Amino acid sequence: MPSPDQVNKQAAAHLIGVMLVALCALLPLYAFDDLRSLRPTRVLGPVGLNLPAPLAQEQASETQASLTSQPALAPDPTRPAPALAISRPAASTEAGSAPAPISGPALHRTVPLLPIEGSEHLKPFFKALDRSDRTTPVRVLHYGDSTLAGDGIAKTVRGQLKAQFGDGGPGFFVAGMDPRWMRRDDVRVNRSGAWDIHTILHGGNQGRYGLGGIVAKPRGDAQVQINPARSGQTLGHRLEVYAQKGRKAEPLRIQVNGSAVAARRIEHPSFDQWVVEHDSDIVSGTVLVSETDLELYGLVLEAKAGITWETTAVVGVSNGSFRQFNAVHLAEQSQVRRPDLIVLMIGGNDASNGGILSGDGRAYRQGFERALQTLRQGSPQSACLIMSPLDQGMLSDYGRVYSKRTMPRMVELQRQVSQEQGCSFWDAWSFMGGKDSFARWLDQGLAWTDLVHLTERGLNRIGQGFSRALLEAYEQHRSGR
Amino acid sequence: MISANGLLLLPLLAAVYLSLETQRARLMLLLAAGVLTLSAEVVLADPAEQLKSSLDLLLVCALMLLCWLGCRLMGRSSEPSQALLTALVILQALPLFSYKLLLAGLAGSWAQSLAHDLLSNATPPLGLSVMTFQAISYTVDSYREQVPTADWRHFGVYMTFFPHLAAGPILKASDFVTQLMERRPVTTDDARAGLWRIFKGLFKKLVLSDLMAKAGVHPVFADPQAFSSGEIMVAVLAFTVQMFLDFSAYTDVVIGSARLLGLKLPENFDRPYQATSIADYWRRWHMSLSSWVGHYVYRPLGGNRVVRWKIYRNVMISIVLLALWHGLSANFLIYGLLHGTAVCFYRWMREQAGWQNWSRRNPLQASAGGWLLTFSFVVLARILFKTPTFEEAALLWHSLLHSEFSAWPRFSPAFWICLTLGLFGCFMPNRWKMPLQQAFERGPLLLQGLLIAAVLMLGARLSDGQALAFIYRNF
Repeated sequence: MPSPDQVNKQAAAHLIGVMLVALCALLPLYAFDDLRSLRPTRVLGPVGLNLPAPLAQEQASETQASLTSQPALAPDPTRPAPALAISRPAASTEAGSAPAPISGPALHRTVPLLPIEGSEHLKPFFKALDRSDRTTPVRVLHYGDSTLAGDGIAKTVRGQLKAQFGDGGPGFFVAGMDPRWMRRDDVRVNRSGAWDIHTILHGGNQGRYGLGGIVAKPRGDAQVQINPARSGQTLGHRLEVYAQKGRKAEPLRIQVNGSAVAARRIEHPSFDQWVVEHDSDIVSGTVLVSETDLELYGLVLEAKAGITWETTAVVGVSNGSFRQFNAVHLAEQSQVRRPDLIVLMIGGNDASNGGILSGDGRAYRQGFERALQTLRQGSPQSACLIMSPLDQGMLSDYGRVYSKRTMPRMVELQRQVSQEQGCSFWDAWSFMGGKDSFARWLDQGLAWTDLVHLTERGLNRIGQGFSRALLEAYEQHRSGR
Repeated sequence: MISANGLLLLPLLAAVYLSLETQRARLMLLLAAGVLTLSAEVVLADPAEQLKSSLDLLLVCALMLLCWLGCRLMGRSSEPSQALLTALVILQALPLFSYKLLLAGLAGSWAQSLAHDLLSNATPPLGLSVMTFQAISYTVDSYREQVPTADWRHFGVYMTFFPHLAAGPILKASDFVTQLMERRPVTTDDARAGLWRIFKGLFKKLVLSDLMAKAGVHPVFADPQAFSSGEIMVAVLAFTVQMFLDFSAYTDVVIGSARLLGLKLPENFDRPYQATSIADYWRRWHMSLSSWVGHYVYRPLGGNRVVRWKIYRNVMISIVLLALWHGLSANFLIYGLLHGTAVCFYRWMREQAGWQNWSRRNPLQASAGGWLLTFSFVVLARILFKTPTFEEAALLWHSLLHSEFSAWPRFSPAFWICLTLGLFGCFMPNRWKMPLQQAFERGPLLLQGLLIAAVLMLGARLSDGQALAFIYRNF
C-alpha cells in the first residue's frame, strides 16, 4: 500500500509526463513555418507577457490571409442594408478623443478641425502648389487598403483640392482597375478581351506591379477604354501608358477621342512609357494591346496645371504586402511619375496583429517603416504624409461593439514612424473619436456592420476632415505661421 | 479565457501543490495563485486601462474584506442579529448590483460618467460575480454556523480559487471549506479524470463552440435581415448548442483543474437539453447557480412549504432574479418572466388529475411531447439571451418568420460538422460517453499527452484568430 506522499508523487509525475508529451508534440510546430496554422498560441494567446517577434510576424501574415479569404458565411449583398443588430457601449467622454461629437448626416456642415501633425514636412508639396510656372499638375499618390480602395475618402479630398487649385485630371490610375481591388470615382476603365490581373496582395508577377500595385496582362488581343465618370468631364491633355518592355516593335496602339494618335515611346530600364500630348481636351482614350502577356501597369491622364489626387489602393494590403514590390521597378516608375506628395493610409488589415501590443511593438514598427521606405525610395524629394488607420470594432459575445485593442497602439507606432521618417501625420482614428468610436459611427449610419469599413457617408466625412486639415496647414504655410 | 500561460502553468502548479507536505503550505500556494490570477488582469491590461483595472481589483478586495470582517463581527456575538446579516448581504450584493446598473445604463448620468472614468465598463471585474455569490454564501453559512472553520486561509482560498473566478461553478462555503481542511492525497486516477475533463473542455470550446459562433451564430445575430428563415432557425439552434458547449467547456476545464488538485467541485450541468419539462431543465442547467438561488432565495422565501400562490410567487422571484443576474435589461426580465411563468404553469399542470392520469397511461408520449415543448421553448427564449435589446430580439423573431425560406442555409461544411457533433454531444446518453472517457483515462500517458496536443492543434487549425471569451465571463 503506497503512502499518501507516494500517491501524490505518482500523480504529479503523471501530470508532468502528460505535459511533456504534449509539449514535445507541439514544439515542432514552432520550428517549421509551414505548420504555423496548427500552433495553439494562435487561439490561446502568447506564452509569457510579451509576444515574441516571429510570432507577431506570423500573426500579421495570418491576419492578411484571413482578411482576404472568403468569410464562412457572407451576407447576400443584393439584400437591402440591414437595421443594426448590435449594441454599442455608452458614448466615450474621454479627453483627447474627437474634437467634436458626430451629429447625424453632417456632410454639409463644417467638420471639426484636427490639425496635421508635423505639417512642416509638407513644405515641398505646398511649394509645388505655390508655383505658378509649372507645366504639369501637382501630383499626389495616395496608397492604402480597402478603406481607400472604394475611393470614398480620396474623392472627397480630390474634389476639395481641385476646387481650390484646379483640376489636373485623374492623373495615374491602374489599367487593371477592378471593383474587387479598387475603383476610382473620376474615371471609368473598361477592358475588353481576356485579362489576368495580379496584385501585390497575392504576388505572382516577380514583383512588377507598377506604381499602383496592380498589373493587367492580356491573353491575346485586348483593349482598355478610358472614359470620364461624368458627362461633360474632360480628362486633361496628356495621356501616358506605363507598360512592360514589349517583345514586338509596336505592342500597343493608342487612340484619343476615337482617333489613332502617334505616341512617343520613352524607354526606361525596366518599363516603357508611351506619351501622347494632345492639343484639345481628351474625353476618351483607348489602348489597344496586340501582344499577349504584355504587362500593363497604368495610365496617366492629366492637364498642364491643377492638382491630381491619385488613389493607388489595393483591397487587403497590410505592411507585409509592400514587400511584394520589386523595389527597383517601383522606384523607377515613381521617379518617372515624380509625385509631389505621397500619402500612406494602411493598418486596417493589421488590426489583429498581436505584434502591435507586444513589448514596444518593434516588429510592427519595422514592417511599417519598410513599407513606407519602399514607397518613398523612388521619390525622396516628395513630401510624405501618413494617415492613421480608422477605428475598427469587435463584437463581444454579448453583442457589444468595442474598439480592437490594437488600435491606439498602432496609431501611436505609426505616429512615431512618421516623426522618425520626416513625414507629416494625420490621426484619422482620433478624428473618428478614438477608442470605441466605431460603435458611435455605426450607430449613425457612418459605418458598416462588418465592424471594419465605413459607409460612403463615413468615408466622406473622413475625407472632409482630412481636406480641412490639409488646407488649414497650407494656409498656415502661406501665412508663414 | 483558456490561455497558453494557464495551460502551461496548471500542471506545474499541480505538481508543486502535490509535493507540498502540509495543508497550510498548499493553502498558501492556492491563495497565491488566486491573487496572481486577479493581479494578472491589471498587469496584462492596456496601459490606458491599468488604472481602471487596478480599481476593479480594489473593488474585489474590498468585497472580500467586507465579507471577512462582517463574518468575524457575527462570530463575536453568541446570537448574531438578523439585521446585521441582512446589512452584510445587501452590502456584499451592492458592488455587483451597481455594476449591472452601470452596464445597463440605468444609473444616473453622473454615476455613469464617474463609472466611465473609474471602472472598466465592458464586463464586471474578474471574479466579482462569483465572489459576490460566494461571499453571501459564506456570510449566510457563517450565520447558520455551518462553516467548519474561521481560518483566514480557508476563506481566502474559497474566495479566490483561481480556476473558477471567471464564471463559477459557484461553491457553497460549507461544502468547499470542508475539503480544504485536510491534506487529501491525489491519486493518479484523480489526475487522469482531471485531464479528461480538461481535454473534453478544450475540444468543446476550441473546436466546436468557437467555430459555430464565428461561422454561423455571430453573423446571423448581427444582421438577421440578410439571412433566410432557414438560416436564422439554424443559427438560433446553433446558439443554443453553442451556449451549452461554451459554458460546459468552461465548467469542464474548471472541474478538471480542481480535480488535479484533489478538490471536487459541484457539477454545473446534467444534460439540460434532454429535460422533459421546464422545471426539469432548471434542475439540469447551471446547477450551481440554481442551487444557490434555491438555498439563499427560494427556501428563505418559504420554498414550497407555503400556500400555493406563494409557491408560484417564490418560483417567479427566484427565476426572475436568476435571469436578471445576467443583466438588468428588458430582455432578461422578459426571459425570467417567460421561464418563471412556464415553470409555474408546469407545476400547476402537474397537479391536475387529468394530466396525471394521462401521463401515467402514456409515459412515452408525455416524455417526448414534454421534451419537444421544453427544448423548443428554451431555443426560442434563448434569442432574448443573445440579443442585447428587445427590439433586436423582435427583429430576429420577425426575420425568422418573414424572411424567405427557400434559400438553402449558406453555412460552411465545418459549421455543419460542428453543429452535428454539438447536437450529438447534447443528446448522447451518458452510457455512450463512458467508453470514450474510459479509453482516455485508462490510456497510457503518451496517448493522453498526444490527444491534448491534437485538440490544441485542431482548435488552432480551425480558428481564424484568438479564442472567443467565454460567454458567461460577461455576467
